[in-house]
Amino acid sequence: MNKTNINYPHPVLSSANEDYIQSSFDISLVDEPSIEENNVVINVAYSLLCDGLQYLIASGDAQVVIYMNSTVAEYRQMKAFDSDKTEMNIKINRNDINKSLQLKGYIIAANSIKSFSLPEHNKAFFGTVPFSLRKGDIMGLATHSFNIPLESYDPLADRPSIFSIRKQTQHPKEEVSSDFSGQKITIWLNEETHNKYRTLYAAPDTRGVLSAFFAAPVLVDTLYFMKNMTEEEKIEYESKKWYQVINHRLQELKLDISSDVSMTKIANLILPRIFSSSVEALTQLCEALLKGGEKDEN
Amino acid sequence: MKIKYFVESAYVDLFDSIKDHETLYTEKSNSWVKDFFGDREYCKESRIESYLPELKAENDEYTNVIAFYDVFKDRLNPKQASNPYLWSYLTHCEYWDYTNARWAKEGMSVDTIKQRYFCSFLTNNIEGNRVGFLRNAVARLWWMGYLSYQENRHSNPYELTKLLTSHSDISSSVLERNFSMNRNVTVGILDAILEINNDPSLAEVGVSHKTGKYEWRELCKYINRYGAVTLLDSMTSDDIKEISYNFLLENRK
Repeated sequence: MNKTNINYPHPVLSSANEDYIQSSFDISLVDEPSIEENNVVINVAYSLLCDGLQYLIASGDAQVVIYMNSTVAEYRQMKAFDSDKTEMNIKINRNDINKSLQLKGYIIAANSIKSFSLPEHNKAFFGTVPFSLRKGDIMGLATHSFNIPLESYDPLADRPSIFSIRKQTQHPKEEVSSDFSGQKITIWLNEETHNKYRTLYAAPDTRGVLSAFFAAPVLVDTLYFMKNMTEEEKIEYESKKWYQVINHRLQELKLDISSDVSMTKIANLILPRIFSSSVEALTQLCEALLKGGEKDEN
Repeated sequence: MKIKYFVESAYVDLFDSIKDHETLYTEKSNSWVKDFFGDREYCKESRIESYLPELKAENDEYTNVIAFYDVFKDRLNPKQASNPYLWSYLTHCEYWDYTNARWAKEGMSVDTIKQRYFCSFLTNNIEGNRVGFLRNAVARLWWMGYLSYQENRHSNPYELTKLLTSHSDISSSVLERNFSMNRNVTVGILDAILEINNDPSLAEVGVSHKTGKYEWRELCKYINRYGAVTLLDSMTSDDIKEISYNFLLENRK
């Protein structure tokens, strides 16, 4: 539910418009969401600067609510703050949601309001014209929203690869390309290369070398992508498993990609020594092939 | 028995090979699936313990929803039910005959295969998407049950499911809109339609004589517009029912 660019038929307190003067509304996470038994626990708070809306909330005519949405799990709920509290504890059964949970803050009409006019309304737009609100009508939009990843990276768990090598079907002429939009970094190979990759992959000795061929340059690509991310992109990508893995590794090793010049150097440090270990793997493969050749000669 | 699911690498390879196997999806036999994987491990057992209920393409959707959801409503949670590896395994392996008879047809497009056999609706995203789960041949049975089943409904806990499955356009119009993720909204809309249908003095909700369009489609568009300005989630199902009921009758004038 994206309500960022809607012209409401009544004043709505939002940082995206000038319907209100000298007023603001926002939500924040009190601390990091956590797991307690079988529940995801989230502590949320709101801040509101607007006497008119404060009065309506205290009188029960308006409510501050948190809208929660986990799309693939068909989860969509709302929870209201108590009228006299600005913090709220939310518990959601972790089996009711999946992948990520979106949180948005709203102020809504708790009942219908016949004559809605506040001193904080921008007189230049609305004069003193009162509005009629229905129950549930949006009166305020929080400046910030949150996208909480639900499958956070556990550094103690076994680490599956953050790369997925797939056959290119959309653009068959592209020999190789990378894609950061999924939970793993996808390396797209054209059909011919992908078939050869699959054939070679069947032999365990080749896997280290194969991964270096593709994963190493793509990892460098990825680090440059992360280095140049905007704040909005960071929020968008923090639910991706690959992003969490790389970010965690950077923090673990106290590496700052914004200040370092060489992403190649950083790539070699984080996963694990991807360039230097591939040279070792190639050496071992060649030795194995040479030994095999000697056996044949004998 | 433990229900199985595709392992990730097998699922990805199968998904990426849809174009190569396009014609095989219309075959009566799914032996090509095992041939494709050869000796590699392509599935694993989940923790879900259950038998698999019989699904028949010649039965109506309502019967198949009840058959499947009755068995799995307490065995699957939404988190598990939003895993494409599970449903794709079921459509390709355990329920091939049903999926093939129900949905396969000559000249079926890659997009149709992605949504009926996998869980990706109009996307190349292998993780699936919301509408993809509502369109997958087997997943849709669980999700339609989940979104419309009401344990405490006095007449029949599947009363709204019956309405939802009475016409394919009702289920897509209602469930494929984001507001249906809140069950109060879905129940309110369906309850309003049911009340009109059960009123002998009113014509059943169907094609509008005025516009020639399905009335439920106009209703869903209206609720969507309503939700642009109003937080639908703040309303009870009775609130939504009242709004829907009034709209449907007003729209007939």
